[in-house]
Amino acid sequence: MMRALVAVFSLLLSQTWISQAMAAHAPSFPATMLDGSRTTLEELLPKDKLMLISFWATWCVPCLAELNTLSSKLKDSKIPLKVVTVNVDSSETKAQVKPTVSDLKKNAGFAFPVVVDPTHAIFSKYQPNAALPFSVLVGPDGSILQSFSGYQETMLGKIEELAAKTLPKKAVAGSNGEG
Amino acid sequence: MRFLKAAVITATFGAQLFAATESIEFDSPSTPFSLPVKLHATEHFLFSNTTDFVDPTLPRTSLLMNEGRVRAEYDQFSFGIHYSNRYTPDGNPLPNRPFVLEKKALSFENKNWTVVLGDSHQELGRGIALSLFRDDIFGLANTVEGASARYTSSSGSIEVGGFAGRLRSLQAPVALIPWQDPLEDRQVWMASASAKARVADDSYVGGHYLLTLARPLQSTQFDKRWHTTGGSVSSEGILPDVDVYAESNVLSSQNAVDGSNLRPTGYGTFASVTYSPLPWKFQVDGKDYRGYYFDFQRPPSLEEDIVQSLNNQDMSIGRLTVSRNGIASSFSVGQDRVAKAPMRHFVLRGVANGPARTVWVARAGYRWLVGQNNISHANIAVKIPTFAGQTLELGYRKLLSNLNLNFFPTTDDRNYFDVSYSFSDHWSMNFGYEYLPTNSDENGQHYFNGGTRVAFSSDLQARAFIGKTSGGPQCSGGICRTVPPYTGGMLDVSYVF
Repeated sequence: MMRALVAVFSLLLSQTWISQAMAAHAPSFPATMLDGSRTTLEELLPKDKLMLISFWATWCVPCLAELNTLSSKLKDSKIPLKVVTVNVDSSETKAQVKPTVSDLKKNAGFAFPVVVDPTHAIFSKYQPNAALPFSVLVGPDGSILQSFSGYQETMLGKIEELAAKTLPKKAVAGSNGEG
Repeated sequence: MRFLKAAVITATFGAQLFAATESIEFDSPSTPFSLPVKLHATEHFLFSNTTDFVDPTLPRTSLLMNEGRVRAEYDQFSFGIHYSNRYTPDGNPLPNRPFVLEKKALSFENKNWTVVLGDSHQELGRGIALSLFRDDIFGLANTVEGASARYTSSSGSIEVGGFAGRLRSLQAPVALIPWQDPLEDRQVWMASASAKARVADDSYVGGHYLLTLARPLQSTQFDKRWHTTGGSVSSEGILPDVDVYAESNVLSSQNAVDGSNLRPTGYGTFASVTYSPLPWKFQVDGKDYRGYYFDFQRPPSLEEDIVQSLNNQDMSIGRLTVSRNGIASSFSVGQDRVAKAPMRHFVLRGVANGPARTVWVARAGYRWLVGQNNISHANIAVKIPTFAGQTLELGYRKLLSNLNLNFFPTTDDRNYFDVSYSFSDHWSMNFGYEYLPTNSDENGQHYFNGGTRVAFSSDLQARAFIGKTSGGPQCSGGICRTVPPYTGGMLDVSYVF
């Protein structure tokens, strides 16, 4: 039994070099927006801002807290950030999505685009085991800069740091956070 | 190069309201270079060492399970595989599966088209007619192996799609207690067409048809046939602050040889109306499933995650939910035609911020199947920030069930205590205690367990668990089932490239 476990870990650790050849880019996807219209990752990506793809579900309490916080804090923020939310409610709870978005809009000023992904076609590309909350920060070139698992109050501060590191200074100085 | 990172939680013991709040962040340094083909891969290992829950005197069994997913993207094309294997070090060769190619798919995706050759998950409407989905907790990933195509206009005003092929389930699921394979003794083929059109602002009508054929594994002759026809309407803002969705399906079950009916025609209807004059929100949901016997679905059950919501065949429920400022109450009234009893369920729930940045989540309710059983349930959980970046989470859950009231009355009392502490974004530990005072001495009344989760790096994460759980209702992705007790240890490792 121990030998099996040692073999597993050895295999995992030895595979680090393989990851060096793997993609840095956010997996591309076509998507349906909450209003039924179609889009793609490429269309959603802003040219001069970072993009946070935030996965959430109506039954995920920390996800809703995260969306509330992001909505409130980004209203007057100068962080060059676009937030795109991906709802992953399946058929069981899909009926709650629009009412929940209405609540978020009216209570917290939520104004982020909402992509609907009931079959987890997008979610499974980004988060293989469907743990929520989960967010991915993507650069203007589509590269993944960072991922966040779990709701973190310090997330925006870290995004601001990354924006300062990765975006041209002009973009950082001149942008307003997108609600 | 920077990599896609993911946190992985694949096995859940006990209900934790904050189970999804692990905080991990990753930022790997990288060397930028690009390939024309983008590769994405994950590996997932699960090792379990358990005692047989029926006969604890039997030797413990070990099982090492592994699965991997690899996907290559080139422009608008992608090709992916999902493979698995399993091995037992105990010398019993039966569970050993050196390599199973579980899924494979070649896809073309652009803004308007999604075309897949190979395995694809499918869903029609709200999952009443069909839902082939993936659930890692229960080791489920049913797909259609064949071809599928879907076109959606850029504005979303028109959507048409179709698929055809054979159903495939996982052969070696990487899960502690996998769901029984629905295809272990038969082969099922499906073909479907669906369409949806916008008829007014934010108003849609849709329709779908599904043909299902089944035959025993060793036979070449289909012996069962199902025709499913359904339609839906949805409208957002049909009146001020009012959203509506309604869907109805008709299921015809036939003997494929002589065309005779296997069952009376089944009907499955779901409707939802929401009225949101904030800060209030009123929602009425209704389901009416009559003689709807079909295995591959995941319809709205309108049930809380305290019971197995398996009766989606012959049951009607209406539910009113009223909520305001984080507090909601709901009352369900229905008729379970399988149990031949009226059902009632009252639930009150709330989320609130407390002093010292604490967050409280609570729920309580009472469900009764008149004359047959009743269940009182309550959860409370609190998340308490302690030192910088550290949190303590406490949870208590109770299920008190009075069962078989009309036959052989019994009481089942379950109490679950959870304590978890996050030392950092990368390390947390949890302890659980389950007290079942109504259990016999033979089955045990006290269950202790503990676990830890460590993110060694951005790519490598692990969870470990050791101890005993009492089983009972376990829910994931809207599906609840009763799982047996578990005694043993497990190690769950995920590696994301």
